[in-house]
Amino acid sequence: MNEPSRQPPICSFCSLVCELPDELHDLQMLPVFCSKRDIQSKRIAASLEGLTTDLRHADSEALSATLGRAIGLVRQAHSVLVTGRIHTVESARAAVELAQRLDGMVDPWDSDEAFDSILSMQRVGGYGVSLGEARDHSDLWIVVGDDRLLEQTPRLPHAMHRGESVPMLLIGRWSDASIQVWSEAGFDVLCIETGLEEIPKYLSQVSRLGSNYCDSQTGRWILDAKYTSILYSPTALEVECRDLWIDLLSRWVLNRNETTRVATLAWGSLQSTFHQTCTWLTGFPGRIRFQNHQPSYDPHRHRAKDWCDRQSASGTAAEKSLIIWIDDTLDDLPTDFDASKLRRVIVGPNPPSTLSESQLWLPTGIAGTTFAANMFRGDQTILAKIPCADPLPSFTPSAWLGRLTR
Amino acid sequence: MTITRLKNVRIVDGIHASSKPTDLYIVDQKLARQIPADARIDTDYDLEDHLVMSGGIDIHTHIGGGKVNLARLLWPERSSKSVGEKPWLGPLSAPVPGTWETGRRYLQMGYTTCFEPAMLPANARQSHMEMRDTPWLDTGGYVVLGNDRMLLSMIASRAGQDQINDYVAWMVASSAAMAIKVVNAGGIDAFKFNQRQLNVDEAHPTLPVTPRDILWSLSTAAEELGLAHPLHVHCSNLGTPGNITSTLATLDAVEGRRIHLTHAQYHCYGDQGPHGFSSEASKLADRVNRSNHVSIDVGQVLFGQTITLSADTMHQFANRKLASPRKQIFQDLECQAGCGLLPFRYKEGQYVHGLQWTIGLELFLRIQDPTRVFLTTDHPNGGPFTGYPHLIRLLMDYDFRMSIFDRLHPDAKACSSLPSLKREYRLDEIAAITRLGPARALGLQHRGNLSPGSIADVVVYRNDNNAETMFSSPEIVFRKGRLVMRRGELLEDCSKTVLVSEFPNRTDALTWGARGVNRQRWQKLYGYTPWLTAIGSDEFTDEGLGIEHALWHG
Ligand code: SF4
Ligand SMILES: [Zn+2]
Repeated sequence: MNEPSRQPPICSFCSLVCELPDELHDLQMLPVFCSKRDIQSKRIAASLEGLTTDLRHADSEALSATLGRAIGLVRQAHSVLVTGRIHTVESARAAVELAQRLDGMVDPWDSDEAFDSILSMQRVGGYGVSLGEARDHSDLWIVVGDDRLLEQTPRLPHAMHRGESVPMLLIGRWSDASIQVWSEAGFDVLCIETGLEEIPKYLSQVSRLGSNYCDSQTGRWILDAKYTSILYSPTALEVECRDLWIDLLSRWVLNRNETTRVATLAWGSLQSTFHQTCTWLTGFPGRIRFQNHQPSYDPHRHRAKDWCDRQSASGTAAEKSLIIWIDDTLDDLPTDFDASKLRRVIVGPNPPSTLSESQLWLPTGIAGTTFAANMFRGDQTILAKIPCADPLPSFTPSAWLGRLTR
Repeated sequence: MTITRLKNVRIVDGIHASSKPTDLYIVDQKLARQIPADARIDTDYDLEDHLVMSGGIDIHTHIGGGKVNLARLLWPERSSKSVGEKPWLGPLSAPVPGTWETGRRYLQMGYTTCFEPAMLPANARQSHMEMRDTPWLDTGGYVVLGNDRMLLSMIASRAGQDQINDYVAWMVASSAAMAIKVVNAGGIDAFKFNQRQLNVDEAHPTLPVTPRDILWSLSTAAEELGLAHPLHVHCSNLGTPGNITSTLATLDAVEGRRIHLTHAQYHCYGDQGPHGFSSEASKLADRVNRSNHVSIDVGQVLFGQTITLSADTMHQFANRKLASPRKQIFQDLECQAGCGLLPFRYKEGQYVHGLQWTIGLELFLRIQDPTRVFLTTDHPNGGPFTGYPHLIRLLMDYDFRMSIFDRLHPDAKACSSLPSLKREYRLDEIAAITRLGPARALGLQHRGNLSPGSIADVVVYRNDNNAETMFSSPEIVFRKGRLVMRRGELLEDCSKTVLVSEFPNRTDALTWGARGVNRQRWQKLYGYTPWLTAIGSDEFTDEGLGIEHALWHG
């Protein structure tokens, strides 16, 4: 039906999902340099050949024995947590389906920041904008956060810039190097080093006072703008009570739209793909526990790390508990997860440091590299299909999870 | 070959008016009226005192995509009411439930084909993905155009209709869409420039383009391309008193081309009466009755809690103070459209809500041709789709209708003509507004009827004087010839199909994005190539979905 003939490859190393022009064929697009991509590509290149060779020539008997033992652990378990670093629709769907079949709990390992944003949305709502809209339409950007935003998504400034100079208020803790990156991308940057806690209050003050009383350049920019986009990422926002901070900002933005136009762009990590998928399947963004195959949502109680603590603390429950860890990254296992002594099945490209009867590994390739996958861009408007020319379809998390309850 | 016989059943599909019981056969995935004399019948059902209809078709229901998922997110509360022994008869767990629940509940009501009416081109993949995860239903989506800056600038620069057609063809094909939807033509984009209203002949704040220009260009494109479904229009001035004027102007704007007005109930208001809000349903119904090229779906209001969601940020924002509970989500999206979501409770005793309820029913009762008025609540906007059996009873039973009318606000009762409309829908008319009509409007020849050769999506209802009881719990449902549900109990999964519009130059349409100048303009506007959001056919087949092409049959 639809056969796009010249789709450039897409990078899946962060939630910007950049298209990567093929320099030979694609004179219309500028070549991309990205420090993160550079590092990640080298890491992947170093392990990829070994990994794909291992997978292609995997000892199928040994693997089916491991699978058999994993199925055994699943059957013995009284309480199951499905968690991990879940970055694709396919893994997320499989994770939620597995939790449903096993009447288990499902929550990504590091979902605190995302849930600050989600909980605020569930209390207050907000006025948001997608990246493409903000890029084309904003006459003022307010970027709140710190250097981590650029570490997480190095090409974001380029993706935000439409090719003409636009004023930008950079608020938070930004190094000179970062400020330079924003300027070099083409923004007219004014950097304000201030306590982030105060930002919502400051914005309210400026809009209350109006142009007759507010004569700072910052204030004038804010008051004169016809369409302001406020960008932050919950994972690069150092404030005490992140969810309440987001509440205040969202309320200001909603009210301000009574007279002018302003919107927030809350940039999500790759894990937003999990929250989106889980929401459409079950009605809830995560932190759910299935009982009789029906989901119940408790954003405070059904948190992966708390479940581990609870189960570990109770001797008998610990023996009957099982963690199924799904990994769409090449990163090492988080130390706090590694410290847990509960039984676990790891489904991912990286083996755990030790393997035993209570710690099994089902190897996978890498999402977007050895198998095609769907991932959300950080604004959660575009769901990008990351193609793969030479896939290893049996070594995907979703394929393994399907086999676990067969 | 597998043959199932439905014996002694009364066929009701809006085409075949059989009052006498007859036999209907399912041969593999298709329907038949006869089988060879020596053929062996594998399964036999004696269905005396039952009637059979084809699977229901919902032409307009919000079941997949960014704003639908936001609506789920916005409503984490769950009712503590026990679901009882027959959970398929109870309320949905939330105004917009997850896809698993959506698919199950539609099937349990005998619906088998549903259309998401507002796919943003940039978000079409998500919409399809959610629909893919909605079990038991075959699905399709309409792509939202008419606030996309690329089209607006083409119209503003007086690009030829051929160029516009090429662009529209690309958007339809690359979104794997069934149709084009326009929402408040130009108004969503105007709101991004802080304009709060846009009438049909008013210019966009920054471009020399009016909604009339947009409606004309898009309806022309739909017709000249030969799309199966006509332009699917959410008019200007949603929910605003006096909006009948812009609704009739919208019908004029397409100059006799085919058009479908969606959730028309929200677009036929006057500004008379004690509260400056009145019904103009008769004006719209008159126009529809006189115009064979017009179809509508109603968007009936049903009392209770829901969430309203729409791409129409302009009017959703204007109503934001009505949110109950008080929280709202809005988004401006990707130079293409936006969305606004408000939790909302329709109350019987509230003047406007009561009158809205009567206006929807007036449309059903005043429009004479039941194949051009379709049963919808614009789920979840007017109420949940699970209210359809109740709505059918309202249409079939005058006394029941009046028993609810009696509970409305006295001023709403005083100014409504509903009591004078004594019409009661017949079963074949119910089949027309829920099956036959939508199928015809969508170019689906083999759905929505029980003719030989049609797809064997079959629903068997036990006769009951109470239409609500009858339509909320079919005895059995077949999907593509297989028995998938018996008295609410789900028996097996079924294969799923994506419905897309076929049109003569479909394959060519897909080369639009690769042409240098188009690609350059696209990249300049969006910052990525046209391929990032375009959907490839392999994306459906890799997931095990079938693809069915709908055709305009004239
Ligand atoms: S910004 Fe992210 S997606 Fe883009 S090239 Fe760098 S790592 Fe890849
Ligand atoms: Zn709608």
